[in-house]
Amino acid sequence: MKFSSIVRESTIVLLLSLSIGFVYTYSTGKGYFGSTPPSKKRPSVAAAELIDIHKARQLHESGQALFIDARHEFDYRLGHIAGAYSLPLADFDQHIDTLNRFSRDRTIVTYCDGAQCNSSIELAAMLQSRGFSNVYIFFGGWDEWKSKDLPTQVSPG
Amino acid sequence: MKKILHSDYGALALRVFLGLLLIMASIEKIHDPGAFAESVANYRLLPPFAVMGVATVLPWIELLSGLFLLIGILVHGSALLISALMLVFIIAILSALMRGLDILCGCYTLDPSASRIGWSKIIENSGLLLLGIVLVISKARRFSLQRYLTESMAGE
Repeated sequence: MKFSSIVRESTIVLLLSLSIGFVYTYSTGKGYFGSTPPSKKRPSVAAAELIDIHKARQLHESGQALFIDARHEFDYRLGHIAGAYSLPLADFDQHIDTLNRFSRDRTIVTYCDGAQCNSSIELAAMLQSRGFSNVYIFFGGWDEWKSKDLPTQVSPG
Repeated sequence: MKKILHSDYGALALRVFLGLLLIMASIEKIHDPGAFAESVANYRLLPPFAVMGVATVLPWIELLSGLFLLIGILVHGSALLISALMLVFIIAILSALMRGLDILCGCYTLDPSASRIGWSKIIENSGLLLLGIVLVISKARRFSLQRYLTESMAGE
């Protein structure tokens, strides 16, 4: 089969997908024709309170809150919020013993990269399910913290 | 090697495997394009209007290509389209990894507990790209509805 014929076939499939996709979303009011743009939606995974940079900074300066970094350990080593503890979401079960050393009413702040990641929210939900009652999510995360030149730390491996 | 490449049974197995995988991957995205758009937006590569466009059309490319591969219509074109998509996915994941993004893949499911992007996803998509290219090159035409229809019409 000639390559030009194959490209013609691909174009047919693409045009069909375009037409059906837009007709479907238009008729169901979803996607492009939906009422809520994706960027306006808030994650609904956890009930923990989302906090902004000011509240996060306040808690950090108080020295009473435990900051937990939900990113990969590699990213944590490159740089993290000063004093933060590394708990990548995928390794949660391996850290249970360490977590059990903390009081269940200890103030905990989880964070990941920023608005583009969900691991801070998922981690907060997992901590709450383990009985931690005072969990906050710093939604701006590492990106916002770094951009404000707040205290950071590097932990080379 | 050529024998394997153009084997009718090999091509059928590939078509069924890729077809079912693509159909499975498309269903949740078609049902909830808004949630899929969130996954696409997380890659931070496209402006919002383009994100919604991709979330609206891409699942249908997967579904239609999957169906066509399965029943044997426009097989080469569907395989080429899917191969191109896999290449785009690989580049998007690679770019996200290089920017240190820790995000959900949005590949087969939109479940927040599903797998995140990583090198395994690059390997997985490279494998699928390779299978797609094999189908584009393959001259096997048996077990396809298109061939059956062509022969029926030629016989009349």
